[in-house]
Amino acid sequence: MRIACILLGALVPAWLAGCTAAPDPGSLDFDPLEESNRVAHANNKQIDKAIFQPVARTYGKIPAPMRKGVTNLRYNWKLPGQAIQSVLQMRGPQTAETVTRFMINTSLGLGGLLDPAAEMGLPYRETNFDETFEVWGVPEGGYLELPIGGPGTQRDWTGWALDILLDPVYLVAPATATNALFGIGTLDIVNDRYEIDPVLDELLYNSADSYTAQRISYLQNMRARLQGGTDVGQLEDVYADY
Amino acid sequence: MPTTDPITRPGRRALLAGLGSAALLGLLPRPAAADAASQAQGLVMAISADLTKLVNSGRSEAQLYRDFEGLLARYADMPAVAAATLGPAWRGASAGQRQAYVAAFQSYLARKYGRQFGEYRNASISVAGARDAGRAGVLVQTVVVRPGQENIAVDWQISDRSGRARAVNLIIEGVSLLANERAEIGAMLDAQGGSVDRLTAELRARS
Repeated sequence: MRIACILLGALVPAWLAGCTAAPDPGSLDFDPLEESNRVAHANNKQIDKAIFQPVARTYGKIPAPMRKGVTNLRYNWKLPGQAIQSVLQMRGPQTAETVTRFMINTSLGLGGLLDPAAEMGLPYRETNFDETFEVWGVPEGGYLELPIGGPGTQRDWTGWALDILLDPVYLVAPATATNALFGIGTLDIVNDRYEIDPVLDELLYNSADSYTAQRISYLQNMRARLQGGTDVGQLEDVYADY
Repeated sequence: MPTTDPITRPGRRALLAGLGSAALLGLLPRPAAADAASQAQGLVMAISADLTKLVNSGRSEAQLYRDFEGLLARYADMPAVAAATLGPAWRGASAGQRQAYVAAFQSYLARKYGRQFGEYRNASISVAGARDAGRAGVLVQTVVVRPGQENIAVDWQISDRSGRARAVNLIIEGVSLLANERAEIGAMLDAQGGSVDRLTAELRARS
């Protein structure tokens, strides 16, 4: 084992080769990229305070139904790519639901501005490469906070890039349509920031260690989202040491 | 006369029947577990009703935090939760230090989460189910529905190990309060040079 570690150590970081007593990759403390992440985190907080937070709060003054329309449009045009993800995840019924939802909202929903499909029992359910990777058993990799981008893992950010590069709508639609979609997408990201403002504000600006607070919140939330809820086996016995 | 009674005619069929019932016993919740699950659900419904009333009560912030702290003390096992967030330092603390820490932690928690109450006006909480988590207790799953906003999945970890069913953790969209507060309290304790007394003072200053 030791010789293998020395050999491997020349090729890959020690934590990858499993040679150090580093925390288990599935744990909340696994953080091989912490040093560079903390630099990005400090910068991201300043950018958020100066730009994203005030812009989001201003955008939040727009009436909710109008913001909802923007969200509906963005969600609708993500559906073709998500139908492909459902296929890659080998989830037949979900693929059919996604295609049906797209057809209903693109026609009856005026190109996706409205969301009649949700009332017919076909609510939006986001799925991207991050979930496909989870289904395929690709490891998460390290937690990775990107400058401007914010929290993620190596796997999630890889998925994010592939989602953009391989989005069928962007490959097929004319430039005027994709430019409009890009604008809508940007507005809706601002809306996402607005929707989580109270929680994010507490996390980023009231925590004793906002980097760790954001990392463990992100990792737990991502795992529950991709694995379909809280894992009962992960619950801790509060009375174990009490 | 042929009989299928496994006692009078032991054999292959009896063996299968025996295995079958053993499997059934293993699969079905034991009466005690089922009892704990329904008790836990009842507790969560009671907490939800009180929380909904409090959030929509229109009280002043100071009153809101005080009342919320009262609910925490009543429905959650705060000494156990506080101990779990303090970790190894709990074992080294004196009885007096522990008591002071639990009280300060409870007020800090009430204020921290009470600040978010404005987001939950007109929200309703519905119980979606319960799952047995063995020694960890019972996980009661609820959905918080807010008009015009996305639903929030809130899971309640309930344990009766203190002698009666009480909440020991809250998991909001997968994020465990206990895990987050353990990291947060750990960071504060480090900043206070590992002193539980100074940590307690810091928590009081934040609440």
